[in-house]
Amino acid sequence: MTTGGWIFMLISWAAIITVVVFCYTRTFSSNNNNEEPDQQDFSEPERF
Amino acid sequence: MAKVRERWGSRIGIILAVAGSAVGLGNFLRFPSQAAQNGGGAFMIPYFVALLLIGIPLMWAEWTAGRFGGGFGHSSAPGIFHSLWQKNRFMKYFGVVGIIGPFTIYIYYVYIESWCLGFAYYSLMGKLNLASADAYVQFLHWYQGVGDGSSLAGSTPGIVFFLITFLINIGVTYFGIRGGIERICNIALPTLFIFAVIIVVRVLTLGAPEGAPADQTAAGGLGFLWNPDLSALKSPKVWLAAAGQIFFTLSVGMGVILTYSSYLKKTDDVALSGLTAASTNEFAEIVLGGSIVIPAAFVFFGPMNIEAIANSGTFNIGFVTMPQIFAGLPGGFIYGFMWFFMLFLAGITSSISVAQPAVAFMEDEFDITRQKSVRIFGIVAFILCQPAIWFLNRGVLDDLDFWGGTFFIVIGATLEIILLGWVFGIDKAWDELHRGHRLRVPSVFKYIIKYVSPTLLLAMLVWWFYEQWWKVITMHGVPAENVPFVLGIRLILLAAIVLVGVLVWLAWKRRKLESNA
Repeated sequence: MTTGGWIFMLISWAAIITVVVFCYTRTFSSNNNNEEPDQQDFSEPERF
Repeated sequence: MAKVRERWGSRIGIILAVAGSAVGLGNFLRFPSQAAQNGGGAFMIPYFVALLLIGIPLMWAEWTAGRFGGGFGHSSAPGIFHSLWQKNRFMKYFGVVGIIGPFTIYIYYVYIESWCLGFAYYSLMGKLNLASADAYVQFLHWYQGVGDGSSLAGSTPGIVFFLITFLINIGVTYFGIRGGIERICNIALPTLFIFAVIIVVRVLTLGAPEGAPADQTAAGGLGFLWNPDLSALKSPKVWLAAAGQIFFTLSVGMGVILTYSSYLKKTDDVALSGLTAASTNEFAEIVLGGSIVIPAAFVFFGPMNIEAIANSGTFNIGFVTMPQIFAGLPGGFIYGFMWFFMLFLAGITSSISVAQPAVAFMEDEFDITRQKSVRIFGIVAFILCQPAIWFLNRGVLDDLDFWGGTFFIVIGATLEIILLGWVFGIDKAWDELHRGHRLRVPSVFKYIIKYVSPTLLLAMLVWWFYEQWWKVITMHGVPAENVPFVLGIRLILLAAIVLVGVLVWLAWKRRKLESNA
C-alpha cells in the first residue's frame, strides 16, 4: 500500500470512528423523554 | 378513544433497528467489490460526497417525515405522504412505491438470506472444505439447484433453509416492534459486529502464503482498495456507482425508515438518532466490510487475480471465494461459520425491516391486528417468493433486484425529499427535524435538503431515463429463453402496484366514512 493509501484509509477510518463514538456517547448520555404520553397530539386534524 | 400505537422500547432500540436495516449483505459483499472496480481509494471521494449530499440528508428527511406521519396514526408511505401534503388527494397514491419497493426486495432477499444460513450450517459441519475452485462453484450451483440442465431451479436443502429463514422472519414480525424487531436487533447487531471484528482481525493478521511474494499480505490488499487512482474521478460512471452504493447501503428511499420512525413519540430525537444509525452502517461498511473480502482474496489469490475476483459479482465473492479462503486457514470452518452467520444476521435485520411497511399499512389503514396483518403478509409473501427460487436461473431474481433495489428506491427518495423540502416546506421541515433534538444539524443541510439533494436525485433519474429506460423496458440483454419469466414477474409487480393503489383508495374512503359518521 502506498503512503497516500495509508493516509487516506486512516483519515477515513478516524473520521467514521470519531462520528460513531460521538453519536453513541451522546445517545447514551442524554436523558430519554420516556415520560411523554403515548398518544400523539398534532394540533391540526387530518383532512381526507 | 384514540388508538394506542406501538412504540419503541428505547432510543437505542430504534437506532439498532434502523442500522440493522441498513447493514446488510451489501456492506460486506457489494461495497468492496464496487470500490475495487471503481478506482479503489478514488471511489471513496465520490462515495463520501454522495454520503454528505444525498445519504445523510435523505436519512434525516425520512426520520423527520416518518415521525411526523406517525403523529397522524400512519406508519407507511401512503399515509405519511398524505400527512405531509393533505391538500393533495393524489399524493397518497405515490406512497404505493414505499410499500411495493420494500415488498419487492423481501420476496427475493429472504431467499438469498437463507443461503447464508445454509452455508453457515455446511461450514460448521465441515462440508465446505472442497478440493478445487470449481468444486466451490459446483457446490453453490448444487445448493441453488441450477446448472443441471433442468428448467426449474431449487434444491431440497435450499428449500429447507428457505423455510426456516422465512418462518424466523415471519415470527419476528409477528411479535411486533418492541417484542420482535427491537428485541432481535438488540441481539443480532452486536453479535454481527463481534463476528465481523473477529474476522477482520484474522484477515489483517494473515501473512504471505508459502512461496508467494513477501508483499502479498493483507496490507497489500488494503492498498488495492485504498490507493487513490485520481484519474477515476473524471469518470461519471464512478460517481454514479458511488451514489448508487450510498442508496443501497443506507436503506434510504425504501420507506423502511419512514415506517420505523413513525413509531417514535413526537418529542423523541431524530437528528442524533438518524446520524447514529447512518454512522453505524458506515462503520460496518467501510471499516469492517472493506477489510475482509479484498484483503483476504489478495493474500490467497494474489494481485493478478484480485481484479477478476472483484468483478466476479457479489454472490461469487461471498459464496465461492470466501469459503475457499476460510478452508485454507487453521480452524477455517469456524471462520466460515462466523462469516456466513454474520451475513445471515445482516440479512435478517434487513429483511424484517422491508416487511414492516406492508404490515403497518394493513394495521393502520384497515384496523387489522398485527397478528392478522402478519398472517396475510406471510401468505402473500410466501407465494411471491416462489419465482425467485424456482426461476433463479431465468433472470427473475436479477429483475426483482433491479426494480426493488434500485428503481423504486430512487423514485421513493426523490419523492420524499421534494415533498419534505418543497411542499411541506423546508422551514417547517427544519423545525420538525429539531423537535426534541439531541443534536443541532448544521444549517448548511437546510440548503442541501432543499436544493442540492433533489437536484442530484433528479439528475440521476434523468440520466437513467435517457440511458437505460428503453433498454430496460425492451429487456435488452435478457436471453430470449428468459423473456417470458422476466415479463411474468414484471406483470406480477404491475398487478401488485395496482392492487395496493386500490387498497389505498379503499382505506381513505373508509376513513372518510368513519370521520363523517
